[in-house]
Amino acid sequence: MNDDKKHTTHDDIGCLEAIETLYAYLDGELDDDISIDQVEKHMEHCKSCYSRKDVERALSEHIRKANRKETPAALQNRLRNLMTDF
Amino acid sequence: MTIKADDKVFFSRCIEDNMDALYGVALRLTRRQADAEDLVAEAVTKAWISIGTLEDKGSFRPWVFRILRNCYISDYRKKSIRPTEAIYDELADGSEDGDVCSMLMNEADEFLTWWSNPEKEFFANILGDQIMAAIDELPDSFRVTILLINVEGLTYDEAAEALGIPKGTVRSRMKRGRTLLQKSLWRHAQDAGLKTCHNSK
Repeated sequence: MNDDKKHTTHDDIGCLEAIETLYAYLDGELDDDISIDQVEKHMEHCKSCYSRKDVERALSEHIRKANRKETPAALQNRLRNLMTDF
Repeated sequence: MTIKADDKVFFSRCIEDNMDALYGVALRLTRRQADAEDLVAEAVTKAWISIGTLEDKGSFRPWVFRILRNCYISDYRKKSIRPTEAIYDELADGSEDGDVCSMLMNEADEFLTWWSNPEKEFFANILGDQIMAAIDELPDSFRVTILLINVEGLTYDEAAEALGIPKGTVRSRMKRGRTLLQKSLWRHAQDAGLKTCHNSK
């Protein structure tokens, strides 16, 4: 099944298509319309889109780190008490 | 409905595993710790009452996030809805994806330049707070989608289930939300002095 994604022949994509699929590509959610190979091939030749991918990937990591929250102890206790009473 | 002892063990374990995630999303939705704690407690209670509706135990995460979101919509969102919310919600689901991509294409490459400039390290240090502020500025529909996928690691299918929307709308919201986020961060970076640094080179 991965062969479909490896054998890109003629459908080079432009910046608009690359940007349209960028987030799905980074999230591992690319559908079958445009292949991983097509996106990566475009990035190899387009400095602007490559930079955008770099930015978005790093930004995703920052978002992940910035939003990691630990449940306050009071809420942990509250939930455990709730579940004990269920 | 009969609740089995196994259900309670399963439920408790899943809540323990997802407690931080539920609280994190609730906090970004309500923006207040006390409200977030109440929201999570309410969602967990409703989830337990509805445990019989969980058909696939492997889908616990999207299922419980959906309950959290529904609790938020019914109890909290109507108290704090912002004037721009409706407009952004329309944008989220009604416009063509091409509009967003055109917006990105036409956008100046200042953000990209910023990312690669020598002051990157300085801004990286303050980026955490800026990201939080920028995410808080996003309309609910974008904010929750980004949080579920980028922070909690849900797949697009799981996020669609959690939000009760088609997968295509998840895809669209990710594009629009991330585009808005990038623009917002750029404004925050400028407010933090980026423009001065940038122009002084």
